[in-house]
Amino acid sequence: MNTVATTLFLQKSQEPMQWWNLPEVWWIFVGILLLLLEMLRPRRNSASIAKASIFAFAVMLIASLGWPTGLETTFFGGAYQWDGLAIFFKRIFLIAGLATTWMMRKCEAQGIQGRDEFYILPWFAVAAMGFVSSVGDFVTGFVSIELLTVCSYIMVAFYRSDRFSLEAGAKYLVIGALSTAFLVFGITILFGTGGSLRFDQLANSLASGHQDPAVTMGVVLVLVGVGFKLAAAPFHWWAPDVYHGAPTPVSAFLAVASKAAAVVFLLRLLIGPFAPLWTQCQQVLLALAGASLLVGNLGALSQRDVKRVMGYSSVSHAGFILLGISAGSQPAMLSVCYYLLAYTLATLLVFGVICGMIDKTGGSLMRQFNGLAQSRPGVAWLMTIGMLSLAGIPPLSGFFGKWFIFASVWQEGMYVMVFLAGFTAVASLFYYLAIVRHMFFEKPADGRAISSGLSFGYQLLLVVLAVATVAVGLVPGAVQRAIYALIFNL
Amino acid sequence: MMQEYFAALVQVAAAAVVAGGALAASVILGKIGARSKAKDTPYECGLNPEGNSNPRFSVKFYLIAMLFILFDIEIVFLYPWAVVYADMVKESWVIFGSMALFQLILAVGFVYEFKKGALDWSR
Amino acid sequence: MESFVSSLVFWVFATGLVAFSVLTVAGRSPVSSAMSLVATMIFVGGILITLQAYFLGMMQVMVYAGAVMVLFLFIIMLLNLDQESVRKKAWVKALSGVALCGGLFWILLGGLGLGQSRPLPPVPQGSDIRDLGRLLFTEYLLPFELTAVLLLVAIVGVILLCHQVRDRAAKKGGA
Repeated sequence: MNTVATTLFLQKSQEPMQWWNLPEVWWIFVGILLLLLEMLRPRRNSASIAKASIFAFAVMLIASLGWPTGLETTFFGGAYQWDGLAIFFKRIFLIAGLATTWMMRKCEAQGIQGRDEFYILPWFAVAAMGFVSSVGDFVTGFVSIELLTVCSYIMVAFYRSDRFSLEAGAKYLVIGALSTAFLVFGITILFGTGGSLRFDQLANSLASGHQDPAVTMGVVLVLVGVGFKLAAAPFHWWAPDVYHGAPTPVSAFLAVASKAAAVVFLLRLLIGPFAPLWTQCQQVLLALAGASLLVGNLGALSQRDVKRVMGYSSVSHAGFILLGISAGSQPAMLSVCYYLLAYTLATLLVFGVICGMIDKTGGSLMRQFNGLAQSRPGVAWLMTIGMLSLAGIPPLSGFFGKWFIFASVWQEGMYVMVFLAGFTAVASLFYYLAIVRHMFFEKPADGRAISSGLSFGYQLLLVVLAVATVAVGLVPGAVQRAIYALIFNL
Repeated sequence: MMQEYFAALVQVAAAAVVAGGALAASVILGKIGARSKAKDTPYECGLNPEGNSNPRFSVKFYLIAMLFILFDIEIVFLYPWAVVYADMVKESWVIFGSMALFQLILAVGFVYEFKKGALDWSR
Repeated sequence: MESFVSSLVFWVFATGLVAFSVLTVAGRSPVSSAMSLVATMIFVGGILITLQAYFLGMMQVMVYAGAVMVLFLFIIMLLNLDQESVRKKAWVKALSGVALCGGLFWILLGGLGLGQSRPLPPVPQGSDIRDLGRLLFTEYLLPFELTAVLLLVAIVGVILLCHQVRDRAAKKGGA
């Protein structure tokens, strides 16, 4: 029997899908190809690499429509799972990668000349997150998360002559190392008690020994590690500083893609090895959710910088997502996916406007947006759509995201959490609307650093994101049914 | 199993005794002679010593050391591969292909170093 | 005899490990702290060898004591750190450090159940490097290949963030 070959190739094949057909393999291939192109081309021309990267993302996003759905297989002997949940998250990652690279084009004037790796690194990060979304054992999960984190370190510190970017890079590096330490310590303890690193085997052995205090320790340490990646309170301090200092497209990438990767890793753990320990996990998740909702929404109130506001806002959205996950039911999982989609679109839109409007690196004070509605009404309205969706104002997708999560949590009988979340959602209106007020009702300050013009392509990106934000909110039922069909293979 | 390593332990102990003994002897014997500030300064051909004894290093050293470590990690994976290769290649060629792919990906990194001039000391 | 030698070796390494880690934290000169850390790494490698994980022990010495510590020393020399002149007495920080260490120790004691008997996973007989290699190239093939990508990205990152580009002006013209 050819053992090596059987572990390599898929086990219960229904479609002619082989390991070299896996999207992540292609994404890494594209990344390496772009890297080779970057170093071997005769004449330096930044635009070509950026355009090639954006084009490749668009092609891969279109190709993702052709992925085989309704089919569950594993590759590499169970280390890689292909199913609806993975497909949903892989598409989110592609959207985030596309939008991020598009925004990066705008940064060309800001000191990245001749260093076109900026447009290539998202490929490796997206591939890493793709592996995270399909993860089937702890080693693969750990290596993929590390790959994602290393890409993020480089991208955060990319403006290496800018002290804010360097500071953010250093902070992210230290926090990343700390969270990795928690994660590895937890995995080690789980390996010691469960005797395996594969999710399915670990679930079996943890089911028999779940009174063991060591198992609880391992689970809690792993959840703390994931909490750091998710920027959930009390592991959130890095988020506002890093989002503030990092290049704006990278902040968008961290807020959307990195968080989604942490969410899908958490979901994989909860439906895999941690399933027998659900009650313990639920308590931890509820505590994290409550803390994130309070800290995120109240912390954002006193901020004067839009990127810092978005940092705290991302903490609060982590809280909503964790609240949905801790409900633990099938509708709750759907509402989390819907919420994540709405959050992705709106956050990318908001960061897209910030990136387009603020030429300077570093800060992006609310004052700088004063009077935007007079000078560039279109952009101001796009920003308003993004902000209102994040705040959860009715016709927009953000509202239905919150609504679905509240409904599924209410069904599980956790009324206190619904009231807490509702209260903080109302508080969040203040800081989201503060930016809208600055744009519409404040006199423009002199010497503001608002950019003069946006290219047609960039406007197209913003409009598409805004239309998607509105559209996902106009037909929430249909979108949720589509997600349901995708994830539960109908 | 541990018996074989007893000799190594004895060697470590012997090294510790010799090194510690030399230090102790120099302290005990060195105290006998008279000491002064001039005697404790490093001898530089009769001239007065100048400057700091540990000068700042260029960041180039750090870059090289960092790149060295990355390829050092690659070596770590090569050891187990070399040990099991002869056995596993009889089952299938996957063992060959997997290391070839690994090396190929890292070769891209090596070419990248070259092209960026990271190994060029004069730049 | 066997168990006596094993436990003797273990206690030698464990004592050295604790002693040198205390020196690492307490030392005033950064260089001597770093060298104490090297010694700590070597003792950890020794303990791995007493656990019959010979390959891991050697890797611990090669990679950490040999290579990673070189980076530490380069950084110290790069920054030209002198001795800490005044050691600030930050009681809150010291106490929180002690609390953290105590917490981790409690996790090890309570969580891992000192004194309770627990069936440990079987120690592989024979060569650990052979078993490791077999696992690495069958079950963990995917993470192995991902490691190559991780190293590639790390190389790119090192050069992007550390490499001084002299001819920036020329590149600006091209971009």
